[in-house]
Amino acid sequence: MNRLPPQPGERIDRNRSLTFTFDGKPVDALEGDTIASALFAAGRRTFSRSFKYHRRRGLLCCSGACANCLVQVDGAPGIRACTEPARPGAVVEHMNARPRLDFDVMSITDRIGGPFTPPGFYYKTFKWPRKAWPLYEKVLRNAAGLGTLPQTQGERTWKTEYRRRHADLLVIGGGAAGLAAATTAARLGADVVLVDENPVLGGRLLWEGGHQLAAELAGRAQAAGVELLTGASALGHYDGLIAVWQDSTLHQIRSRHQLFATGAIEQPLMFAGNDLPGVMLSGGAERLMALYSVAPGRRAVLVTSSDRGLTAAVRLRRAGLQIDAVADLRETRSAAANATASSGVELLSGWTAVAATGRRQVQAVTLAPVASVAPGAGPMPRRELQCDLLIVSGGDAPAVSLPSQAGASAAYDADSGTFRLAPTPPTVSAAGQLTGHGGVRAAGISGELAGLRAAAALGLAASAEHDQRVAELEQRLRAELTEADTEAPPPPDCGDPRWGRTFACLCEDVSAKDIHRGVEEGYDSIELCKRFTTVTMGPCQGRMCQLASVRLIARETGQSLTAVGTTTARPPWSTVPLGALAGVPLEPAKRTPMHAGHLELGANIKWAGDWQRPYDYGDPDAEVKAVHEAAGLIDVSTLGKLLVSGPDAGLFLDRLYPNRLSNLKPGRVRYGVLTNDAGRIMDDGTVCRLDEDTFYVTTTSSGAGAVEQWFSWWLADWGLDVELTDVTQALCAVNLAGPRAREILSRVTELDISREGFAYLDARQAPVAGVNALLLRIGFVGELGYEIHAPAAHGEQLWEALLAAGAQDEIRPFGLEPQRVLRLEKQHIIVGQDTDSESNPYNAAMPWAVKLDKDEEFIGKWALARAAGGAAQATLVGFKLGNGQVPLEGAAILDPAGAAAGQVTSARRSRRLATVIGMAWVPAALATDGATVTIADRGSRLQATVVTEPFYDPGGELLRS
Amino acid sequence: MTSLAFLSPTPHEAVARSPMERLARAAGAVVELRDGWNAPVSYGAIVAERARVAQSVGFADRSRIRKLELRHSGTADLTPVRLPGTATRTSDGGWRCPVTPERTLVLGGSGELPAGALDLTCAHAALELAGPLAGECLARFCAIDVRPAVLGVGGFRPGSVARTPGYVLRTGPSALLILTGWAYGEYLWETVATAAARLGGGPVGEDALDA
Repeated sequence: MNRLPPQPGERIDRNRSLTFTFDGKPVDALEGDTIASALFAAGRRTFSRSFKYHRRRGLLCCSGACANCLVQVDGAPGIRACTEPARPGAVVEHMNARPRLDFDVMSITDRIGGPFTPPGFYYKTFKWPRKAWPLYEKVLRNAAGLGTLPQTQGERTWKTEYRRRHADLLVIGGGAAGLAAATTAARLGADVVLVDENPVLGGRLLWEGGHQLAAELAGRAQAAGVELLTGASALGHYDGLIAVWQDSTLHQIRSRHQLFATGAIEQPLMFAGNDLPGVMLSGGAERLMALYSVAPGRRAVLVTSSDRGLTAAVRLRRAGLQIDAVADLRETRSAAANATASSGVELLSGWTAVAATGRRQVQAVTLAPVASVAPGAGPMPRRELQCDLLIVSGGDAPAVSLPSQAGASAAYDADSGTFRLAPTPPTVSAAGQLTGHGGVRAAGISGELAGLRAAAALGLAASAEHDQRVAELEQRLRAELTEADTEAPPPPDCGDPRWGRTFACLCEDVSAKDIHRGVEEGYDSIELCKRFTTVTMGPCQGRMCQLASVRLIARETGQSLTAVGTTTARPPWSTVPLGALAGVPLEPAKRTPMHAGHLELGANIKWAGDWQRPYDYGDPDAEVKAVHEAAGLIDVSTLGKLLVSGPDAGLFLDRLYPNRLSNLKPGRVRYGVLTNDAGRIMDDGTVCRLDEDTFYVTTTSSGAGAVEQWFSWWLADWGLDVELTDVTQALCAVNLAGPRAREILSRVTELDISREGFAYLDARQAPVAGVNALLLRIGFVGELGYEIHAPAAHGEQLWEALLAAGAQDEIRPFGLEPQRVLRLEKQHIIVGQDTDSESNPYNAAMPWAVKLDKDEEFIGKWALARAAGGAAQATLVGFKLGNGQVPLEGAAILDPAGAAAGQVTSARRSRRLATVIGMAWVPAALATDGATVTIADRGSRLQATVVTEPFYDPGGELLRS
Repeated sequence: MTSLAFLSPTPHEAVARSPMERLARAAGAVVELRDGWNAPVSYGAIVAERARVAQSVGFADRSRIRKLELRHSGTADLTPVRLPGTATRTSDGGWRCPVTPERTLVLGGSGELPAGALDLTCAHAALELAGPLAGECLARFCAIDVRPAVLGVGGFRPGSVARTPGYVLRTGPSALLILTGWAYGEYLWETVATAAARLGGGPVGEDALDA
């Protein structure tokens, strides 16, 4: 094992060991290790294979930014081993290599595939012969992708919980700047939430010797009342909220102000062989040593373009790493460079790496002067140094993606050679290295300043003292910046092709040459080149390669980096499983007050819109029979119910409906068809007048919401003296129907329900089974029927009482399916099933529903007047089929020439009538009793007979009995 | 009988049930008849229920509280009209909650129906969340901002509650009353129970909150 002596601030607990497996073999680890640190300590250097060429990849960043260490853990693919904690018993497997990580047959693509797999090769190859495409597709799909998912999934072991959090200030980033900003704002009274993707707060302090300071800063934030969320990745900005994923919780954080302290991402350098295992970012090497006490190598060379690499070199040497030489791309030595040289290591100023070589990992690096790698330069002096670790630092690119999603923009800054945030929107601010204020002191000052400004923006800090402090901090920050280090933008590609490929995008195996080819083919903007070459489209989402690709395109096209720009930042910024976004499903379900009773009766419950309703109670045929021969009881609580009241209520309804309703007498009910501006049927139901100024309107179950909206809209427009109240859920409703209905009802009410006392289309109020109820003498199913509406709290009592009262008559509850048969026997339409957006009352064979002669203008009148005067092309009719086959709803009606000219809307077998019945839209010429129509149904031609009157009790005598 | 008498439950004539009764019983509720309603008064251990309210979150079925809708055009009972967002107490212990400048929902209280009032007791199911984690529990299924600094006692908000149209009223420093449609009662119970369980909370009876 490559474990160092105890390091200050290390995360591991040397007294607690654990074991997990990697590709079936046990791996020893210590508590606090990540999977990667444990594997590295055990000697592993190849962690994955690259996407296209299956090249070996080793640890690079150790921070979750790159994609070099993706593994599968306990069946879940795409896990970054460098941030995933090692757990006892975890089953860890490699991805993207067959049969083994150290021997991958697909690596042949690296040896011979290059010429055949340039960028965009799939647009040009595998096209011929066309018939072979299914085979090509299968092969390519099997070869592509990262990780495998199980074919079947058992019970979910975790479900994400959504947590909504409002705050005054959300700080993203828990380093020195973020902690300072959060603490400052919280002390001024702001409600602050701080999120950081790492398990411990402190950012770079933790591996750059500042772990004690980090703990102190975190303690201050906590004491100030900041809510600290660690191990919490900000996924992106979504229309005013930031989604943050932490364990199995997805926080949706809405804040009045957002402060980004997301730091910067260390960039790799481009040279031949820059993807070899053993090439590691300075931050990665420091993390391995400081946090996990793992030596990243035995003999190292370090190449850097900024002071960051130099200071890392000093710390690494102090921790015991042998660094044979340091190459600094800058000619002019900074103070940090001088300090590095003074420490005894050989410092080559103005030099860079041109090639890393080695078979399975880095074994040597070739260095050359920067000036000698420019195009057209003369012979290249070089030095080759043996090493097993090449530490690189290509400067820091500010992590601008999240603030960019929040509305900030980023512009190229020539001094730093990176894209920096431009002025941000009023509710967004930034601090720390993100704004170029790296270094502990500058970050702290920057954070406190940002916190003060955020508090002021929230209206929490308006005082002279505040202004004075702001001025003081601004001055101190300026002083810090004058001493800040300079960076030299590294050359975009200083690789010698003779030494191998230079990769711009490690995730997608896109080389500098690929970018060159892309631009040559005309994909000469960053967005086009991205889509053609797939650069920045891999798991790192551009963290490691955006800047490099911009530099390459600038060089290839001769444009400035400002002109090239960056790709659009979009969420998610961090990898997130789809399960986290799925969350705990909230599927609103409406249940009637009788739901428990239905379950007890063995109802087959199904969704009907957003209601759960009984489809049947186990025997729909028997339920139909009961309604015809004795009595049936159906729960119709789902009907829409609206109270329309006020002096203008009648007028209001007359304007809405084509019927005349204002002349309805109190205590009477009328069927209403609701039509829209174009005279098309949008809903139907009943209208009952309760008193002079009050109407009770019912609608279809699925149309309740739309009708209420429609009524509300027109009420607002017309300004009539009407009040509208939706009482759909306040009332339950049942329909008691059948020859024995009157007798059964008489056992539970004192109301005179004789034929004379309670006539068809009457409405009465009376107690039923002790419950105040509204009774309507109407029917949808063709038998004597009573619809009883009562407060929802009494629904169960009403239902039980009616079933008990009808037990001696063999009453049966009946559900939706038998109801459909019964209503079809009467040719009662179901809006939305038998009608569509072209249906009006005339062609739907309901001309009686329209009163064109009523005084009041009504919605759709002009359209209905035209329809009344013209000839319909198709008409809704009933039909009978003698041969017993029930056609599918939607089956075509054919015209004499055999072309489709209509369709079946409803069809069922009626045991009562001993025939198949249905409704269909047929050509008007065929819409006469006795006409024959042809139905094309599943390859058969069925001859049906048109019936324009109800099949059952056409005169309605039973209904009116 | 008035023309809208059929809207009002008659608990002294026929037993009135909350839409959550079935689930409350399944969770172990002790149900007593109170004012004609089947009321879940406890879950068998009132001390434990009070502890739950003190330490995490308890939720109680309050669906049987009276709910009246008052329209300002039709009644003289509502001066001064308040802007939506702030509820006030009524003399009989209820809450007067302005929904819009023209409509007010009166929750709780007793006595005769004021003139022009519409009895919507059975239009809304209601649950009360009580305890230090009441807000956290609500946050699992509702995005309304109920931080005490934003929604003080009496604060009243309409909005989406578990993806259904509903209301939230802060009835106490650590108590929130949530309302949705009556037909959503069981669904609301299931949603709140799931959220509360993850926070160490659970159902409590009326006696645990009202004592």
